[in-house]
Amino acid sequence: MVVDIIRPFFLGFYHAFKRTFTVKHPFVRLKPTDRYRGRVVLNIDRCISCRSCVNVCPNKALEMVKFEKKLIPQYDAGRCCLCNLCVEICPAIALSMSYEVEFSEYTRKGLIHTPDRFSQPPKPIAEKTVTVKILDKKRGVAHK
Amino acid sequence: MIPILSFSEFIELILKVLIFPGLAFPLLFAMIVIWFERKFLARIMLRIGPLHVGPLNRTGLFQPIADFLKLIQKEIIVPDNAYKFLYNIAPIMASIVASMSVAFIPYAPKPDGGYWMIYYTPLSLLVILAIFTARPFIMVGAGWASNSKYCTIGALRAALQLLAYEVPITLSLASIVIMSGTFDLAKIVETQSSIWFIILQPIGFIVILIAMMAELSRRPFDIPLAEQEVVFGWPTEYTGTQFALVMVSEYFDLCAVTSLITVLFLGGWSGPVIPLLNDISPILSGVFWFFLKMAILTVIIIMGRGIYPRLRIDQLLDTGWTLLIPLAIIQIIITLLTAQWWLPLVRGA
Repeated sequence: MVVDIIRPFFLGFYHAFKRTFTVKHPFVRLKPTDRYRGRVVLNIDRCISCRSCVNVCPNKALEMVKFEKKLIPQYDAGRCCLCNLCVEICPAIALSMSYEVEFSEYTRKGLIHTPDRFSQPPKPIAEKTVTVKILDKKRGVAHK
Repeated sequence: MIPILSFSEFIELILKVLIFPGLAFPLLFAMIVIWFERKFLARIMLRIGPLHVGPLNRTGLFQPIADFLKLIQKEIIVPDNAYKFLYNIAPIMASIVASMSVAFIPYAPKPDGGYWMIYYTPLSLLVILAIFTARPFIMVGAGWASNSKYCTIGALRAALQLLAYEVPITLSLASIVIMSGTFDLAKIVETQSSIWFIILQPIGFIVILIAMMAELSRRPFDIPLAEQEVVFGWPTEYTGTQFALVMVSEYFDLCAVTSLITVLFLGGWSGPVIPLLNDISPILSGVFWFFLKMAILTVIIIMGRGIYPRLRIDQLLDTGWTLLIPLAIIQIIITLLTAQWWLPLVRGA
């Protein structure tokens, strides 16, 4: 019993000087894993205006609009649930998922991505990124 | 009759009351300990803790100040059914009572005799014990005056816990008084000049440390404030400044308790003289050792929150009545039986 009471003190001190599991988020970011689901990105050149993405979208986040004499989907980030259905159904492989998840805007209108903005490639990842790797089998996941 | 003070005595009194053992010291202690507690517990749990506020890069050093500023901006909400006088006065009383015992603790000896403390009395240990005894009344009063179920349950739990743990504290103080032969805290420190009481009374030290953790309702013993069961116990209904006062009073209590244990068991200010501090003022060297011992005790008391699972209320009362009280009595018996051995060590020839 005495050992059970004293041992946690040493464990506590040992953990206090270990590397933290969480990261200082705005300054350091976790590196997104493969098949990460972030903002949907459109490749305008490949789009064949088939409307299948608009039909399949469960939240009606996509809508066909006219853009440079062509019907192109427009994307509402506020409605999107990142379900990946549009990416799966696209016959021309024009849609893809990126790792961008910060959609916040000051207005509701700002959340709507016109085809021009929809087709822009995702912003580069922040300079400092950390990967998650299984090192400590006793404690599960830990940072490299 | 009020004694007439000379100018230097007056300055010294102002210094004592406003800065060192007085007003500023418990506040600064509370601020540093709140920050340290959040950061250190976060590190134990492999988190980062407070990050943004403060001068040093990404330490969150001023997080307690930011929290306090936020709290004093908030509206004070008094429940409709509350007994308003008691409800409003309880947090103020809590912080006053908590910081009051600091006045009776000697922090360092002065070179011209006397001690660096606000009010000297030969019965300071009894006074502090009396102040500690006043705390459950404030908790019960606040919980009853709030007139809500969580507050009432929390107040009753506080009464149960604080009563159960006051007895072992008093008993282990008894063995200290037997050994030193005085209720004067300054004299108790002076009797420890050759050997600290933690070596002569290890059982008493452990009993008083555990009982004080329970008395402060720190984490493994947080039955009165159990967030999982009763929202926040007796201070649930308090908002804004009143809540800030309740929170700060907890840390004032921590300050008083660590000071008291330092004086009783760790030899108070005694330690080798540090020449650099001694040149500035002979008091500072003693104060440095006092702070170091306080800091170690604070770390031990804070760590309990991160490493131990909570006790149920029956386990808690069981520990108090059936484990700590017999241990304290055993300590008294050992102290009395070995009197011939420790008497020359403690009281001189």
